[in-house]
Amino acid sequence: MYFIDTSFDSLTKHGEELCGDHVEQARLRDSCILVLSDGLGSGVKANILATLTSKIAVTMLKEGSTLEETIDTVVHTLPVCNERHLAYSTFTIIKIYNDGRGYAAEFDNPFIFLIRNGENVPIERQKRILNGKTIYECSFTMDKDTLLVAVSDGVVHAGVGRSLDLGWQWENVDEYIKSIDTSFSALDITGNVLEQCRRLYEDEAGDDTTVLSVKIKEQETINLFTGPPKNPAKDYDVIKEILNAEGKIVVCGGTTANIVARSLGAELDVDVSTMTQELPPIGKIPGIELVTEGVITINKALDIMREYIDPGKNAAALKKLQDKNSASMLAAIIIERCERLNLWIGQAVNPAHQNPQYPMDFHFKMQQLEEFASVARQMGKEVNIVYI
Amino acid sequence: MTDIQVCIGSVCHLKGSYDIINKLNKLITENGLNDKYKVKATFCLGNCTGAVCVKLGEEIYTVLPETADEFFLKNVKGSAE
Repeated sequence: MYFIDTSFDSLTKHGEELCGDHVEQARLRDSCILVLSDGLGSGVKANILATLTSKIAVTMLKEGSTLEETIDTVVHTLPVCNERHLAYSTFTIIKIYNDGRGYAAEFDNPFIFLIRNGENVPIERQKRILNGKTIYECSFTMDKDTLLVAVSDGVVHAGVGRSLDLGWQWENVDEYIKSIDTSFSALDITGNVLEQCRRLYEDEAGDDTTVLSVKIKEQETINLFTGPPKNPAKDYDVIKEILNAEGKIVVCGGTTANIVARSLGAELDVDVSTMTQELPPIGKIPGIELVTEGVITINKALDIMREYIDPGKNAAALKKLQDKNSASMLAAIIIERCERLNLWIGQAVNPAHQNPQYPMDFHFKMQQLEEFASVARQMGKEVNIVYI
Repeated sequence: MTDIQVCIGSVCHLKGSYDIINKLNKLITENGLNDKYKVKATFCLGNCTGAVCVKLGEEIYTVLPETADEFFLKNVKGSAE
């Protein structure tokens, strides 16, 4: 199974406040759906057309509607432009499955770029006419070295009449994308291509310009160890079992971290630079992927994970994953890198936590971890809980 | 060089470790003691009922953001002179 790494951003046409391109994204258990739409004209009218198109399409496809039903609904919903007597917006629909299979339906946007190790992946497009619109459908497979980029026509027109007579044509964009370092994340690629557009437009985009990038990353097993085992006499045996388990290890909890460090005969260092008013800093133990405080950090990471599965907040959550604090780092490991999650939950009760002044008692901790498992399952992770 | 270890476990964090670390760092700099003391964060010191725990030498003190100045004057600055 793979993590689908997506990123999109736009330049707004010079002089306009609203962008006439819009991207919507939905995360499903088995896949990710993205719709890039470019509304007719620019400004508020275009913005409404593009937003409606992408929102309707994502919502319907997510719920299992067919492409025919979706396009029919879009065509009959869009308001007709008074000047042009047209209701029109383009779209590129992309669906990527967790196993790397991909599908695209393209209508009037520049064709998608599909690149593997600096070479174009051949795409066979099937032409279909739906509601009088010519739509090109294709299927393909992505692996960790494949990059998919979709753009609005503002990209292939970049620099028209300024730095380039004919604009930055599809072939030129293709060459440019092929030259980008294959290790870049989706975020870096989107930023890189958009920056090139901005330069060609000399900071005054002649059209709304949107770049959407998709990459996939391999995932692994994560062992999350939180809370000391119920029977202290067995600490060492339990830790040995966890250390020998397949996959990477994350330790959440101060006391738990101390026990792990002691068992390994290692120092537990604290990286104070990651400390914020809200969140305690991370710790470092050689061989352990991430070491954090327990209940506060898990609570904050859980907030980010909940946002991530909410289509309206997904983009904001993806930005938070980049932050260098304990909760963002924990959420990023679960969301991006984890395929199977083994939750090793220690049942020891910290007497100091059973204090009326301290709102996070043992039951709160247990509930929180059940919720953590449930959200991870909603993301399509295989979750296994071991009480120790 | 002496370490002043401030616990950042759950209870201590909620009771103000972040502010105490910043306050102690500021006081140490203001008093020109940077070559004598270093403030470090540490995971649970095991004395959660006495949060926020601050360990200086072998002793664990209970310090709150409001009492950080007092702790500094009595146990850090006082002993440095």
